[in-house]
Amino acid sequence: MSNLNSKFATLVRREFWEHRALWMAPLIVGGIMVIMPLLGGNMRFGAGDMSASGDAGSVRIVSHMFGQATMIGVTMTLGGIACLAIFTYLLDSLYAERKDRSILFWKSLPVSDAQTVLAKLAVALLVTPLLALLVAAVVQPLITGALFVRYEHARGVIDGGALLGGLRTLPKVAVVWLYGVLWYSPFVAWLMLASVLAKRVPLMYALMPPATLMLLELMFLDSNHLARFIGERLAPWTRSDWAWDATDPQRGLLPGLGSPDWGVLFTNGSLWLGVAVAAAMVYLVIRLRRYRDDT
Amino acid sequence: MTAIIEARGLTKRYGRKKEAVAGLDFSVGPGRIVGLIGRNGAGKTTVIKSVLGLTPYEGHLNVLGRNPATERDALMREVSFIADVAVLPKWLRVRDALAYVQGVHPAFNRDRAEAFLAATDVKLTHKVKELSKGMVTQLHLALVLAIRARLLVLDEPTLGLDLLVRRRFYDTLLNDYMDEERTILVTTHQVEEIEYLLTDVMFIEQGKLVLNTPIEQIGERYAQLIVGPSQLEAARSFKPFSERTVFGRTALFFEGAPREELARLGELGTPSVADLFVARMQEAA
Repeated sequence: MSNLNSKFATLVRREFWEHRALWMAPLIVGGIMVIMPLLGGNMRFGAGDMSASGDAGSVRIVSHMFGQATMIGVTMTLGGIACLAIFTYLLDSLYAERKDRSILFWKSLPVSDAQTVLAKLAVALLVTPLLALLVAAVVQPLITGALFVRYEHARGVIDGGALLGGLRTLPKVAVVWLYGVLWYSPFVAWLMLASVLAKRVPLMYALMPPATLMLLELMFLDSNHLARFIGERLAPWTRSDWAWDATDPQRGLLPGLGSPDWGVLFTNGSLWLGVAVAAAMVYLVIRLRRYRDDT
Repeated sequence: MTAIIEARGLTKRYGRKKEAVAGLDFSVGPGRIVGLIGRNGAGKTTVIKSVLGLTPYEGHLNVLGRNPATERDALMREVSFIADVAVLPKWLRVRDALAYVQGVHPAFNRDRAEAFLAATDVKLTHKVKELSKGMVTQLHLALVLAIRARLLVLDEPTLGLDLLVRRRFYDTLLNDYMDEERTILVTTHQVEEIEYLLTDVMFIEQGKLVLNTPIEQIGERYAQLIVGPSQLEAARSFKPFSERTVFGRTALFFEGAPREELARLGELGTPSVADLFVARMQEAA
C-alpha cells in the first residue's frame, strides 16, 4: 500500500514539474497580494479612527468582518487563478505527451493508463485547489500583518479579531470549493477528453462540438436549450431552483449576505448526475489513452 | 528453454484489407539479441508495438509468459523499451527523472543510474532541454541500465544521431546490459551498424518474415561468390537468388549451393547481414 502511495505521489509530483503554473501562479499572486498593501498609498479607512469612536463590541464585529472579507477576497482571487491554471493544465494534460513525443517514454514504465489519468485528475480536482487554499491560509494573515504595519490609524480594527475572522471563514470556503469541485467535475472530464482526442489545439476539440451543436439547434429548432443548459451548469447560481438561504446569518459566508443551503445543494440530483457523467468520461479517457502513441 | 517472446499468426490490419503484419510466426529465446530488420513501412514498428501491448493485434502473442494485450501493466515491470534514445520530455530535470523512475519502477536501482551518469557530462541539475542529443542518450541509458528488466525492446533507437553517439550507445548496451538472462529485440534499417552485436536476424518485408535465422547459421545456408566476367555464366548455373556487379566483378548470392564447387569459380565467402538483406530485398522486388 505504501508502495502504491509513493507511486501515486510520484505521478502527482511529475505533473507539477511539467506544469509549474499550477503551483507558481497561486504563490506569485499571493505574494503580490501581500506586498501590495505595503506599497499602497495613504488610504483612509472609512470610519477614520474607529477604535476611538466606537464601543469595544462593535469594533470587534468590524474587525471580524474585516477578516472575513479579506479571506473571501484572497480565496476568490487565488481560486480564480487556480481555475485558470487548471483549465490550461487539463487541455495540455494528455496532449503534451504526444506533441513532444515523450508518450512512449512514459508508457515504457510500469504505470497503467488508469493510474496516469487518475493522477492527472487528482491534480486538477484535489491537489491544486487544496494548494491554493493553503496559500490563502498563509496569505490572508500576512496581508493582515502588512495592513497592520502600513496603516497605524486602523490598528484597532486590524488585529487578532481580523485574523480569527479570516481563519474561521476558511472551512466555509473549503465547503464551497468542495461543492465546486463536484459541480464542475464534468467540465474537468470534458477537457481531459478533448486533450486525449486532440490531434492539435485541444481547445478547439473542447469548444467545437458544443459550439456546433448550439449553432445547429439555433438554426434548425430555433431554440437555445443547450446553451442555457451549459450556461446554468457553468453558473449554477443563475438557476431558478438554486438553494440560497439569505436569512441565516450564522452560516453565511459574510454576515447578512446569507449562504447556499448546503443540505439541499449536496443532495441535489443534478450534482451527482454530473459526477456520474464525469466518471463515465474519465473512464473513456482511460480507454482512449490505452492506444495513444506518438503517431 | 522457455521463449521470451512467442508469436503465432501475429497479424495486424489497418482498415478492412491492408495487413501491416501478415501472420508472423517467431520465437525469441533468452539471452538472444535479435535484430528485426526491414525497410520503412515493412511492419517493424507494428511488431514492436504489438509485443509491448501498445496496439491491438490478431493472433497469438506471449511475452515473458504474459499476454501483452491484457497484461500490459504487469509486463512493463519486466520489459524496458526505448523508442528514440534522444527523446525525453524537455522540461524534465535529470534528478527528477531519476526520482520518477524510482517512484514508479520497483526494479530500478538509483545508485546504479547515478554511478553511470557520474562518468558522463550529464549533471543531476540539468534539464533535458539543456542536454545535447548524445547526453540525452546517456541519460536514457542510465535509466534503462539501472532497471533489471529481462527484455529490452529498442525501436529504431538511434535514428538521427551521429555515428559516434550511435556506436557508444550500442557498445554500452553490450558491455553493461547484456548477460545470459537478458534479451534484446531491436529494429533498425541501419543493418550494417548493428550486425556485429546480433545473435539472430529477422528480415521483414511487407508484413512477412522473409528470413529468420541465427547469425551463425548464415554461413551454412548462404554463400557469396565474387567472380570475374569469364566465370559469370558458370556461376549463374548454380542459380543465385541475387547478384550485383561492381567494377566488372560480380557478387552472386546463393542459398544451399555446394560450396566446394562454387569455391573453384572465384572468391567464396559468407555474405554480411547487410548484403544478405539487400540481396533478399532485390529478390522480393
